[in-house]
Amino acid sequence: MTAQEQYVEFGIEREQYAIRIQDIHEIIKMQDITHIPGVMPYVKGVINLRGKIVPVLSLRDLFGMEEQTYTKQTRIVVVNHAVDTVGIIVDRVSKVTTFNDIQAPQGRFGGLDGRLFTGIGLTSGGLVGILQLEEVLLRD
Amino acid sequence: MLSEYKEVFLEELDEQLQLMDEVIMQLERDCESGEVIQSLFRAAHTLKGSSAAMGFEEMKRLTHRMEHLLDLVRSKERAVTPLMIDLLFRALDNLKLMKEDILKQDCITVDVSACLQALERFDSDAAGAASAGGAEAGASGAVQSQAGAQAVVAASAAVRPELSLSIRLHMKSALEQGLRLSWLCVRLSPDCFIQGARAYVIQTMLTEWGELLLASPDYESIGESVGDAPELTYLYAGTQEPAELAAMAAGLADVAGAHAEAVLLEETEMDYRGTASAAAYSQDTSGLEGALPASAPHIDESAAAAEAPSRQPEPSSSSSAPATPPSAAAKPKAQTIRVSVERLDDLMNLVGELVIDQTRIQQVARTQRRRFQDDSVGELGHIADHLSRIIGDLQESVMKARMLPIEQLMGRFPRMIRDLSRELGKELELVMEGQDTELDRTLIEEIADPLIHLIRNAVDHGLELPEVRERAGKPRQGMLRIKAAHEDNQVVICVEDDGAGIDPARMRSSAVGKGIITQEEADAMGDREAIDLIFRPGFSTAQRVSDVSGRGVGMDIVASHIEKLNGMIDIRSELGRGTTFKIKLPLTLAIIVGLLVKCGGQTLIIPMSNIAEIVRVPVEEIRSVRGQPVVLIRNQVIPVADIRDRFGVPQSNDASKHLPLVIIGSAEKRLALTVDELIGNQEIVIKSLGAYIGKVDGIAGATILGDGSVALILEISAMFAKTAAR
Repeated sequence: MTAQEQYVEFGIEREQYAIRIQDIHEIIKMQDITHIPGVMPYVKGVINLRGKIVPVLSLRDLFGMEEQTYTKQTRIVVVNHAVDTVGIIVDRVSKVTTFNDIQAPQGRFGGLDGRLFTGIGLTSGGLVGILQLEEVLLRD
Repeated sequence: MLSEYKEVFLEELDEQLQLMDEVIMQLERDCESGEVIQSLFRAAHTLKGSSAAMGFEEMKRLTHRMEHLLDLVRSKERAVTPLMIDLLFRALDNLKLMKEDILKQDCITVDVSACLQALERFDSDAAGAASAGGAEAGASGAVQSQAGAQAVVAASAAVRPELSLSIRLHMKSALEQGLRLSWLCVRLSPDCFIQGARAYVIQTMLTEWGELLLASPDYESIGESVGDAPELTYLYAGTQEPAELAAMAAGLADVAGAHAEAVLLEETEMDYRGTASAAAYSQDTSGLEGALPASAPHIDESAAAAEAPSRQPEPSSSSSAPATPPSAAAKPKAQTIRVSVERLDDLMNLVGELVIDQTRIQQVARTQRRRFQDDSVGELGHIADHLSRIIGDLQESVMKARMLPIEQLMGRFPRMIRDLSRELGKELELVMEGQDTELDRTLIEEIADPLIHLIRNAVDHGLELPEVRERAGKPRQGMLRIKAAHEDNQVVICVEDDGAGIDPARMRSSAVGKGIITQEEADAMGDREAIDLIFRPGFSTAQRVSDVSGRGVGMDIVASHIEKLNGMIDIRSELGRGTTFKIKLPLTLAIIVGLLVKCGGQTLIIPMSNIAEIVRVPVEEIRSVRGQPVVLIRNQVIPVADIRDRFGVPQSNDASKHLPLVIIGSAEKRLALTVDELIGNQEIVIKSLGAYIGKVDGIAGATILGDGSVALILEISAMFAKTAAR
């Protein structure tokens, strides 16, 4: 893993997470979400991304945190996953960053399963959980 | 194998086989039509040529035999008999089997020897008949033989082939063009061992020098060897003098000798049996201009004559590429190209995007007009209107590109029904209407099975045996009508018979007997509902399981098939009068007309093709039967379902006295949906929710509305499943 890879860092509550920049399609503001009955609770519904129907899921819900009302800072991080495009709702997007030091995840990170992360980045601001997208998106 | 041509060959084969199917049926009905025989002959000839080119020897032999037989019919040496029809059908079935073989394994394993033998036997019978006819013709054709004697046919032992009407017409036109007509007799050298190939070369040379009207024997029938006397006779039209032509032919390789002589004028005469006119004609041969009008009535008399000018000389067409059948010149065909369905799908998707954008632009134009009063806003409105017109046209064109006439499908039925009725000993007349009704190609494929099942059902269970019909005071011959038509934005296909009809009482008792419903339910059931029982799984009213429909498949399969296509099916049946099955299908599966409804603040779409009707009923009309809310509409008890329940949408405290109900139908079932508000109908593009979300129960997909929001499309069949599960 090259240390100079770029990541997009974003936050939920007071925690910081990151996704490799290559995996990100775009970052958009909160949209009207059309709810779909009978799907996983963390799938909030679908949005129209320039003519494409894109499912949107809540990272808060996925991580077992309480839902909050969306704010001006709320963003949807749209990632490319396999053939699909999926939106991930986050509280705020902080910045594009690189990590000088990435450590392998321990059994758990915060209150979460370590498998959700490819590693933990160390920055001056603290620890950043680097998301393992396959794991995050494939939760049943 | 020439794999690059295989596709083309198979396409052509398909076309020709279907054509043959239809034409043989026509021939059975109308044995006299020269036109019918001609087109059948052409089909056989085309297949002979292309199968030979592709190296399918067996197929070539079979089609050659068919062609030969048809040629005899065409030249009236043989009459059409039921036996011959059967034989032709048998040959056709063999060809179909061959096609399957080619599709599957690139080579033919079907054994056609029995069929070939039967055809040959038939031919040899025909040959006997022909020689008898020949003697007759000899007597009447005195003029011709006298003339022949004068010209002194050189040692040529070859018998001049019979001249068909079409060839006579060709000769005439050649003379009119100022060409010389010659009989050319070519003797191959005895040590030539690939005679078929040599004959082919000679034929090709002759077509290069001029026009070849007739070749006897045709090189294709020569195969590898002509026999001991390799002698070929040609009828040739060109600028050369006979002597010149003979010299040219003699110069070709493997040719031992060639002899040519001018064709006598009598030989071009139209009706070789009509002695009176022949005499008149031969007396006045000073100028062809004078002779032509005199013979014109003869041309009109024969149906074959009308067809004849379009026929090309056989040899030249055989030597051309297999992709151009000889009929290409005959029937001015619309120019077409083949496009893969995926490309059309892509195009359709793109148009779908445009449709969405167009509704959005119109919406923007509307809001702008409300807000501002400016020229540019007006301009925007104009542009929006123009754009929507263009997109509308574009959409229609793309849709049309995917459409095929239902003829593609219905063409199979006559044959199927013929076999069926024979098998079951029933007499029936098939009436087909609306074959030109167009629908999406995927739909045509999908609807084939259910439709065939309905037809089988009608013939097997619907129509009575001739004796039974007579006893009931009906004509012996039953009637089966298959009708297709457009109705609004739907295709309606009816299968109608005038048979015994469905007995609701028997349906009830049978269903109770089979444990499908309880006696109590049966008693509460109206006649219509009782008839609808036919669509329940495990139901069959047949007393006797016949070969035909007793294949373990019931009408429930038909219903579920149609359900899958977002269609509806209805039965009307009158005891003793007959039964009608009516299928309604959407025109296409990609873009549908949907009814937009509001439910608890969410916009939902119900496919229009599933909507039977929309009513507004007073709240108190919704009653409850064993906990299930129902509503009585036109004497039909329809269960009521609330979409809000399904979608977990909170109930609104709407105090209105009237409830809008959308009555939906899926296959034969009906269900009334309560909604908050009806918005209107609109064309929508169905989009899937994607692999991540996958299949969601009750939702067929989503679409993007004019305001950019996403609306879900209800999956109608799931709504029924849920109601049933309660």
